[in-house]
Amino acid sequence: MKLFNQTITHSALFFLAWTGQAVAEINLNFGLYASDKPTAVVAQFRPLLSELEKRLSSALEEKVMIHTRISPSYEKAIGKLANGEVDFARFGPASYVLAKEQRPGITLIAMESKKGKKMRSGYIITHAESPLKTLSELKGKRFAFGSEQSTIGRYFAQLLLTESGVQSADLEKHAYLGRHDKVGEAVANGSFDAGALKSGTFKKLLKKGKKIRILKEFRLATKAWAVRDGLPQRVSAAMTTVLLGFDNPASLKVLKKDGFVAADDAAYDSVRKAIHNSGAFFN
Amino acid sequence: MRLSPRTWSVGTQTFLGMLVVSLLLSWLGTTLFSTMVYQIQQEHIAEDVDKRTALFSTTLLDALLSEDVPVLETTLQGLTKIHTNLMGAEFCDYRNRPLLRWGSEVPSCLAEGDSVVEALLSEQHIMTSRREIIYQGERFGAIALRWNLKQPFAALDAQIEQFFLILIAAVLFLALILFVMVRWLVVFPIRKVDHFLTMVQTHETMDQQGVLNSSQELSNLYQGVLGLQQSMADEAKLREEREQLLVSLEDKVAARTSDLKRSNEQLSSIMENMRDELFVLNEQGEVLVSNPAARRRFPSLAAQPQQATHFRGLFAENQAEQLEQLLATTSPSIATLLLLDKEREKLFLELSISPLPIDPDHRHQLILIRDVTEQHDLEEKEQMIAFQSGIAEISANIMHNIGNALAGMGGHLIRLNGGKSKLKRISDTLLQLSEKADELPVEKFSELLKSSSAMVESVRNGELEQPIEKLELGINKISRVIRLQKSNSRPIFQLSRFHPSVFLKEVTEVVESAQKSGLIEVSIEVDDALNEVYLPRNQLFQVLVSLLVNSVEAIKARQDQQPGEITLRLFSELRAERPGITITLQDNGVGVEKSRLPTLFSSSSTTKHQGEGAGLHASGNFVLSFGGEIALDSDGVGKGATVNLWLPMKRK
Repeated sequence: MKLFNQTITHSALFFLAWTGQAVAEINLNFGLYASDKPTAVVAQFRPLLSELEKRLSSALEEKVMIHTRISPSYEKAIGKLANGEVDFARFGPASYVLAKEQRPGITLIAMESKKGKKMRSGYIITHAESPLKTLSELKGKRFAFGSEQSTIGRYFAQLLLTESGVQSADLEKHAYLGRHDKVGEAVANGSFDAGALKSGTFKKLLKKGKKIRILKEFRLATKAWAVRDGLPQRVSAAMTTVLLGFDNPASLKVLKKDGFVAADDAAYDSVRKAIHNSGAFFN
Repeated sequence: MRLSPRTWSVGTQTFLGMLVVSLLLSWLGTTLFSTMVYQIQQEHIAEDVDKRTALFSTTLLDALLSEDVPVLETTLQGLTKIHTNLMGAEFCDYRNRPLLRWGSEVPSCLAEGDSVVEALLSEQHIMTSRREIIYQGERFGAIALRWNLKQPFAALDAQIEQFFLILIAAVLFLALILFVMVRWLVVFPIRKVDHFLTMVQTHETMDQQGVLNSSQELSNLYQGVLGLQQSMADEAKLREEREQLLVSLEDKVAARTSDLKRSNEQLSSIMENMRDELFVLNEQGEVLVSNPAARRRFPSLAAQPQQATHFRGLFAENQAEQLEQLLATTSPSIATLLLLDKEREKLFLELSISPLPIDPDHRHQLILIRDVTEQHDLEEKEQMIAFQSGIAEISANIMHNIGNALAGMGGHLIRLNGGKSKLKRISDTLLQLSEKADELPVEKFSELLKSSSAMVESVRNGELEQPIEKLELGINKISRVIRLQKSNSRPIFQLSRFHPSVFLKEVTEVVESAQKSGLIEVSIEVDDALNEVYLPRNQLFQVLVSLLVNSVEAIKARQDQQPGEITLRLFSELRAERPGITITLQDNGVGVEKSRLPTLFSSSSTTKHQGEGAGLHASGNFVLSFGGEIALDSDGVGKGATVNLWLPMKRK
């Protein structure tokens, strides 16, 4: 009787193990920071992530589920990728550089692109009727920055100002307005003499009839898709392959890009430089 | 009036019994009603708690999604000011790790929520609600809230208590009213009856008038009781009679049902096994009933048994008019329809239509269809055999008369041959005489010539003149027989109904070998509206075969390698206001010289190089004798020819 019971128990355990294996799935956490209302961000990214789930499941021959993990701030988002709470993330250049510095094991797997280009533009703008012609003329003027962690809105702008011989102390005042559109509005209504924003926001504001113009253009790398330190190689490799072959315009709409290009960490060197020199702006 | 102790006792007992029952019922009603109210109120409370929890999860959704604890904290503080009975809360992330814990009684996201009943049964009336935070199909965490439900439960208890008191008061009041009504309406009249009966039983001297005087109501009641007894006796008798009637009726119905069932089974069996097709149509001409034979003939009936099939829809469109006429008849009628089946074979169906008296308000028709194709073919064959027998009999008669004449003539011919031998011998004698003329004296020679002349005269009179006269008479007799026969014989046309397409197909089968060899391609074009004709089929068949063979010969005579084409067309045509059908036979054969066209149908004329011309002549004779017209047209030698044949259509 004892032998019979043991046989039954072993059979049941084997069956459970077998069925457990059959229904196993890969759960991945995708990190983002809340550039909008979190509910809106989740809804916007769901089509892209669903498509990604489908393609990854096919590539890995296992069911893949991706969960959105939204952080309220850049620092928390960076922290989650650095400490492995999320498996992969979409970051702006500065966030990627900071995360990579915090955890060198983080790997860049792809860069967003438009028409195959991996660089985009940022602008330092002034009022359309402003007499300013160079950045060095900004001494004694008011300057508007975006977010404190923004690549364009802060780090690049401060690097260019420093290179032009303008430091924080030389400005009449400066402020971090948080969002690019707020910077454009503030310059257009004369609250600030100049400010830094991304090209997309600049074009939108011009369409709205805002009186602003470009004082200085600079180029920087597009947004980065990176995986955490320790993510299984086959998963990160599959993710790289899937992203580079991603060609679904409907799913890519949320990125405002048309695809991905191969990862090139050197493309973020200018951002690294800007971040490292940001201290010089305040000296 | 003084009430007896016994009567008083019955009334009191009745009243007390009713009071107890009323109280029991009111207690039961109150309990049931309270339970119901409790349940409704519990559902309201549960719904309220659920709504509040949903409100929390919705309000805090953005903060929970981004795990933004400061925002969570601030928003929660605002909410607690509104929801004062919230005792504690826990907000967890997707791994159920607490993001924020608040309050004196902090619940756990991991524990299941309580039900309202559990909360009600607990002493503190505290309830925990729990909700998963799921958005866009993803789970982002959970919230658990602890609520103090003392206040709503206390309100509920008070409500139930108040209701119970009101109900008890109402029941007591009702019982009082009932008591008074029972006393007046039941107890007092019973006492009066009881008193009256007691007086009757004890033979107490009772003055009817006195009774009436003492109580008009009592008298009425007494009369009423008597009337009631009589009515009850009458009713019992009626009931017994009705029951007997019902039993008898049930037996009859059962017997009738059994008969009907048996008849129905027999009818079903007949319908199943009958070879003829049977239909029952309603007023709209839809098939209500059909037997298996009908469904075999018209598979669409079996394919869609649930759908109403129109009887006319079972037949081809060109027969719709004839069917309409048939179905419109109100008296029994029989008609024969000629159909083509899938293989274009002719099919004669005999339709017997008769009204069916099922429902006087709605017309139903019974239709019986019988396949009479075989019968029709047999009739046609019998007609043909009779026709051929007649011809054979006439021929035998002619032969007999001519044979008799010829037999007589044979004898005369023998006599002629005898005369001929005698003349030969006379001729030989005269020749020998002429050789010896020099040796014979003149007188002797002259005498011999005279005797020879007499012998010739004798032969002429005896062996030549009479037989020749007899032969002349024999020849004249034969001529008379032929003339007589010719004058008596008229064209005999055996008319029959047939389908033109099938007919032309049979005609073309005569040249099937030529078609199969690829030498000739024969096409048939028949007006679709013409589904039957009434003509001398056999004669027309011979004519068309003759013409078709002519066309084939004409194509063969062309001596080039071009494929031969023959087109047979058949259509209705009105000529000189006479309805008829036209048949054209067009070929691309050797054609005919234009100069010969007018005489083509005369005797011994032919389109063929080596023909006798009897075919065209006979065809022309048949067509003309039937009252039709025939013409042959050709653009000349090598340009083909077209025969145009029109026959008047006879009415059957």
